[in-house]
Amino acid sequence: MRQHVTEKVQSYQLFSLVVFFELGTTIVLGNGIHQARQDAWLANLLGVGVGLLLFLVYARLYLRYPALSLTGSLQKICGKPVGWILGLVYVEYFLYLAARDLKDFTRLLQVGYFPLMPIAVTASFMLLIVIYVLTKGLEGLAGTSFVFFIFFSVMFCTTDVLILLFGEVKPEQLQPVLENGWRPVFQTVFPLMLTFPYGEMIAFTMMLPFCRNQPRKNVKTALWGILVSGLVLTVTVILDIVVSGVDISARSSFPYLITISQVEVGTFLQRLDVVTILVLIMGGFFKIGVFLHAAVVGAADLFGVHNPRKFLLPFATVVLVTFLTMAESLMEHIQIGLQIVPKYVHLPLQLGIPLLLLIVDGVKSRTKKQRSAGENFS
Amino acid sequence: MIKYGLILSLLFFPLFMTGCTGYHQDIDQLAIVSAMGVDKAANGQYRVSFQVINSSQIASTKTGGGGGKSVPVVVYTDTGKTLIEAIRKASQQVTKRLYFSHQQGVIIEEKVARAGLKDVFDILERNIQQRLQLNVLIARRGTAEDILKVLIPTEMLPGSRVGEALKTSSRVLGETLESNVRDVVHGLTDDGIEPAISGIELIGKDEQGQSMSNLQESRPVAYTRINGIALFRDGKLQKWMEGNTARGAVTLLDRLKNTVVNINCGDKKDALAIEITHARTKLGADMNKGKPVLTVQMAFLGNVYEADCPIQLNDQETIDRLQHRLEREMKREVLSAVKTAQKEKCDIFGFGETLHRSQPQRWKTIRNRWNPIFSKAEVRVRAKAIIDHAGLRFDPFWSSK
Repeated sequence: MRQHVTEKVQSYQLFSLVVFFELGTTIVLGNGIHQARQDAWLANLLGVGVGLLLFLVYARLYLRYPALSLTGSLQKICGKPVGWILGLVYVEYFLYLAARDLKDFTRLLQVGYFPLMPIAVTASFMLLIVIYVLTKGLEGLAGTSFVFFIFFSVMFCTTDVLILLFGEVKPEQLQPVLENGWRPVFQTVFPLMLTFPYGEMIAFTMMLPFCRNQPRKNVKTALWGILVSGLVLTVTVILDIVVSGVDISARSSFPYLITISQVEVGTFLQRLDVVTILVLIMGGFFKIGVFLHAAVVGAADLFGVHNPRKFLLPFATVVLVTFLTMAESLMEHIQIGLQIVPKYVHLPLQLGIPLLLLIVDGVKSRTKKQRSAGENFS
Repeated sequence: MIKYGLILSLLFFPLFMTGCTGYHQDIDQLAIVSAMGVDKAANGQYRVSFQVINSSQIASTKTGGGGGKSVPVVVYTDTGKTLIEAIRKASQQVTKRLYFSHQQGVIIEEKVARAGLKDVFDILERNIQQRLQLNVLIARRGTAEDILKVLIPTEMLPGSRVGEALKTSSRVLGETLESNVRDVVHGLTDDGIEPAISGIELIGKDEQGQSMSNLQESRPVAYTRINGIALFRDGKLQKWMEGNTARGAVTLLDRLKNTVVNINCGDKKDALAIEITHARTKLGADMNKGKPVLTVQMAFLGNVYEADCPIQLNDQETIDRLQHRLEREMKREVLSAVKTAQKEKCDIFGFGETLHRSQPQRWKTIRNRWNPIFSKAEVRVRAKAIIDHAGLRFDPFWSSK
């Protein structure tokens, strides 16, 4: 619960970090097409709205205690023993999420590009880079994200324009709208889209206190980041549907790859598939980076260690081992990720506990006020 | 700042030099497949053939000018219960590893297509080396293997010719369809639409067509021809459409790029040729008192290409008459295509899909019996044609005197 040293993170860097974190691996997976079919874009739009609301919960918590990260405010509100244990749960949760993202990333890389490369090798290289950047702290991570953000924006816009100009675009594939009513759309948003990727923003409760001392501005920046990434996801899903078609997209392990591979400008500009891989690598990198950083900072806070960097190497090893042992196949991994984790892990940790914290905090401060008011009267 | 810009741009270049990590192969260790063929073997297994580019030969003829001594492509064949089994078994013959990413076309034998495309299509979309834009053709006369073996004088790589020929004939004649893997998968999986694929046939003596002597004749003894459109139902080939009916089908699919239509000129039959340069077709489907009504709206832009009769082409009234005739002719072709499809209960045009999109709720009640409903549907065709010029002359010389 110690006071943190603020790092020099500019708002534009925070913004790009949020965008990358949210896009992460989600962008290549064609978020929601499998469940909501041609209405996936509606689900995505709805998802951003809900995601923004959810972040307001975290923001409220942060604005109450602008100097405390989640592990700190947990102890402040719930008291030392309960809060400390919950904090530890969160640290492990972040580590688990880092491992999950590492798995998403490497498995897709393996299926799509490096069929003969052992996944442990790809994963280790990824972790090494993440560790290196994290030794430079949040500042390093956020700074890197901005450099990549420029690159990403140019690349994303160019490929999208190329798809629209030279791909076989059939907008009528978005019809019929709401074929089976709103139900599938809502079911996609809740709990799936709410928890992945929007609920994962809870990791940022571990970073915001380290950013510049302007809590309101930080919250605003993060909200903009969520909005922009949600729009990018929506655009991507629409492109997937109008270019590849609903059926192919829904059955693909990563629809964005299929969509981009269909760009053919004459005979010289073909096979832009590499764009997918770059997006995937950037997204995966920042996602793993943010989660690992959150875990490291949380642990340093809980154990009162002054230099959080000491946790980097051991934690990265834990992530690697978790990654190697967590699921037998890509299917099992995805099944766990879609059916078990959202309900039993994401929902309580992303929504339940933060809401509970807010309520407890509200009640506590009210009784305190009443007590002090009562004291004044007596 | 400029320095950083330079460094950044330098960092950009390595992106293009990544090569093919993970395949453990350099380009000289790969057998690049230019086209693939799928036939049914006598024992019920699949017989898969690959046309592999003879890279040493291509390189030497390019620099030497003149024809080389050995054949530009080699065809390997093997059988298997699944396609990949046959592909892997073929490695006993090929010295290098087969590489499919540069394939130009896949040819499927009619027998296989009649038994069902679904059995052979999965590998074409699942494998990372395959691309969705790969052209698909059905071998009509001759097996896919024989078609792959034919050498063509003007083309270094007969395999890539398959794709090129399909493109050319679809774009100047308009009686064939450029169907790729994506279109076919779409037709196989989506409600209310069936695949339609063009055919390729072998003409002449295939034995001689396989040797270099075929390359030395000005009239090759064997050659291939893209011809006809195959109609499918439930992934199984039902019937072929040819000539004007096939063009009607292409028009209906809104894939007509360019074609020439003959119309009557006064009493002289088919004496006037109109080139259609732009075509646009919109399909509609509606249910009227439980009976489906299919509507087709077409618009054409064309010009007079050949006039072998006395006619006053500098008169707008004449042009109006020609436009009417063109509309009638195109309506006739389109109707003949729809009738053929209706008779075979193959909705290759996607009328069902149109209905699904415009009336999703009603579609749910009829989707399971769409094929019979489609076959009995009423069809209404509307066409509008504009002829906007007549080339370098107004009246033909027939009109002088």
